[in-house]
Amino acid sequence: MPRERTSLLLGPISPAAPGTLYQQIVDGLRREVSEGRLKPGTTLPSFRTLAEDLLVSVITVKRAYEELEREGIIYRRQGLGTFVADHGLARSREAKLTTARELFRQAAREAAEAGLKPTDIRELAHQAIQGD
Amino acid sequence: MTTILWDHVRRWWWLWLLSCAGCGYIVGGGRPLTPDLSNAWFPLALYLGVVQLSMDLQRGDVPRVLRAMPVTARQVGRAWWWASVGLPAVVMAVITGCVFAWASAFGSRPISLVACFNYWLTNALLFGPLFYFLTGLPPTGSAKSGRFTGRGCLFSLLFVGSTFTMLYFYRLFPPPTTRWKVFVAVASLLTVAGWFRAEAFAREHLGADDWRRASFANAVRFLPGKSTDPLRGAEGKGGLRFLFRTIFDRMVLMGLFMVMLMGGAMIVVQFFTSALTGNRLAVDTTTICVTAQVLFWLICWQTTKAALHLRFLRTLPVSTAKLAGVLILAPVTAMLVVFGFASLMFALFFPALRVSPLTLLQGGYLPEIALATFVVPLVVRRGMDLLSFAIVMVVLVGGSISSLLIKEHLSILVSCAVSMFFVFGCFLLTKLFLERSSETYRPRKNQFADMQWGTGR
Amino acid sequence: MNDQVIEIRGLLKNYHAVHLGPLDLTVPRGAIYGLIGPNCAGKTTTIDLIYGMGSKDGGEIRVFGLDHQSHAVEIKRRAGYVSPDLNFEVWGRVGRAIRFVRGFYPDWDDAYCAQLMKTFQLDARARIAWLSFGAKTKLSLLLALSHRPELLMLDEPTIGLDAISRQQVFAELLKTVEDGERTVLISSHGLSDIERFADHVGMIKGGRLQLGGRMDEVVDRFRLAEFFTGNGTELESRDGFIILKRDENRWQALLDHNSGIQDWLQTQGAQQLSLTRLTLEDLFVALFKEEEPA
Repeated sequence: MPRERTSLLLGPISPAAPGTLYQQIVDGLRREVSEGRLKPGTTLPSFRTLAEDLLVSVITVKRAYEELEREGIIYRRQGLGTFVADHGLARSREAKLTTARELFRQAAREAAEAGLKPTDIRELAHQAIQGD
Repeated sequence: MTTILWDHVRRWWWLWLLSCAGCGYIVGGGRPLTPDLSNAWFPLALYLGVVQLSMDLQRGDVPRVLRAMPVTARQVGRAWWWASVGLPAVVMAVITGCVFAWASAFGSRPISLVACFNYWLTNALLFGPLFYFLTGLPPTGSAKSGRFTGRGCLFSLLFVGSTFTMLYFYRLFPPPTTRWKVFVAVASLLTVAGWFRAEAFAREHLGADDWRRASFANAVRFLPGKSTDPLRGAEGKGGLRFLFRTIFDRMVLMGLFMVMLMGGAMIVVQFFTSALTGNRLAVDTTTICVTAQVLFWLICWQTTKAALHLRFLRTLPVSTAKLAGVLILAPVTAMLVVFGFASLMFALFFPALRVSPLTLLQGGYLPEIALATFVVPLVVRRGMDLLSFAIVMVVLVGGSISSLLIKEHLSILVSCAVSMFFVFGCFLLTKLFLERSSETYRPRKNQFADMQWGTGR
Repeated sequence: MNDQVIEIRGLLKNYHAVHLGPLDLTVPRGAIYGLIGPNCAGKTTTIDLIYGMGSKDGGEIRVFGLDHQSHAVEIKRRAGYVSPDLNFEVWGRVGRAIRFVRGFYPDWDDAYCAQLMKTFQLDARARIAWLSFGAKTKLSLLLALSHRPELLMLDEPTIGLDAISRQQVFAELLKTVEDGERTVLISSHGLSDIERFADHVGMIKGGRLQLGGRMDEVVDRFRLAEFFTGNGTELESRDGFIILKRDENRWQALLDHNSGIQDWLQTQGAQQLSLTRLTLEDLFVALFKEEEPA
């Protein structure tokens, strides 16, 4: 089977970046799928190939793929490879939504700890969205 | 197995070529040859065969690489046997054959085939026993290193201590005599024994026994002193005095031992050949050659060990002058002691020599000592690799001859003065190298010492 | 095809400063296995013993399912070895060293060797004695890789290498295990490298394997716990709970997540319990530092 190297712009996977290495891979792949750069049905590189590209251990990539498979964003076919799922876009967006919800919750907690009242927190949220 | 064998030849061909050239020159060198070739004796075994193998083994790199290779100990052992015994014997046969052909075609006196064959046999049968004795030497760095084995001792004796005996070998065991036949029988036996021992020998060097990795040589071993506490050193002295004592003591001990050996060898030669009685020149020449051998080996060995740690010594709060001074003075004083002892001993056994306080100076020893001192700056600057060793050997030969000449043609006072200037010159050179040369402090490969820490790659 | 490339059972070795054993270790096929441990724990000795350098006092070592002593030559043919003790200077130039080593391996791949020489920037005519430290390491690696070994054993391959060379070495190792058939066993002190590139890890301390298994499982198992206790509560280290630091009521400890120690701690009156993950290096130090006296 010909090896297709998808030039995935996952960004540098680094111990300095936040999150564990495998988490960074998961996030990177999720981002690529949800923003439509990885279309459904695209072949993903084998985990050993990706490990070589990213200079991480095979286990890390395996784990990332396992998680993405669990979330339904990708699927594996024995002997054929790993592919982006048809509903990958939707699923990854769902996953991203969950993350966003969690982050908002965290932000609200932080703001509350800083002494802000709920109205102030809402104002903060508006500013953040405006600023984008 | 052939890979190992041909690799050995490929790496050492230059030494083989040199030895054969030397042999060829001595044997066929224009001199009229006696019918039994006795005046053309050249112990090729000293330069060919086991020499290269022992150097490889001492340095340790080749066995270490072979350890991880898919070869059995038997293959390695046999390859080593062929490289040190088999092939050299063949080479020797070729040389003898050429000499025979040359002598038959152009020589004035016919040389019988039998004489040639005996010559070849005696020479070839030296390789086997030497290899057998080598198998008794435990590998450097092994748990058994430093332990005395009978065979190992014999190897060191035969090779290092009695080059002199080897030079006279053909006269000690002239061909048709019973003595010679005994030698042939014993040597053949040992050659075969060496073949069978080769596998176990290779296994030892390939690490079947426990071995320890590079470590600093334990300076306290063999050091006479009341204190066995490694931190205190000999009689509580530390610092430069400790360094001095280490070099001095070891050189004196080894020197005395070797001189006694040489003396013993000379007595043996005397007994069998009466080649030395009455002939004052012969005794002189021999004693000088003999003692020159001794002290060159000594100084090489000891200075190299100290020079290994120059990087460390340089960081100590000692002035360069003092450091250079110790490195020069320790060997010089040791050699003076050894020579004093040597001349006493020679006077005892060979009445042709007179014993007097000036014997040391008269014997032409001072120039030799002075010459030997040049090894110190050489080793400091270059370390003891093969090239340095070759330089030392050349100077050894040249030096022995020149000190004879000096003794004949220069007065005692002048030769004293010259020697002292030379030693002082070496001191200045050493000091210069310690101060100015960065080559001095590069990691060293070393023929005579254990692996240095940190220079595995 | 054997699933486990290396199987060590009950290995015993007592020599000078090293007391190894009984050691049980398995390395699965296709893995990059990182062997870590404090100095003198026995890592190098273990690798040495696999190659028959020194004799073991007891136990069993099987490589490719074969006994390491009776099939030593076959194992060596299929395995490669890199170590700081290997010095090729005797052979003068790079090309000659390659020619020598090549003579031992029928499976030598000339094309791959040439490719590696380009990657590692080694010239066949270069003198080995004049190579830099990193270049010498790469030469050792090249000589071990060029015959396409099924098992590659590296003893401290990254000592003294600069960052670029280290990455090159690991990139080459990852390429080696790409097909899933070849295995790499690497013993190293570079814990961050091991954490990143190895997928299995084995920690040796006191001559035994203290921890072993998949990298993520091993590291994930532990948490760094910080908590407060009420006045006078005395806690002691127990299975799955190692006390690291203590300042009156403020504690820092290493928790084994799997053992449910968390709940036990709550019952002991631990408050404001916060748990953080550890890097392999933190875990290593926490597990293997000698306990400070209270």
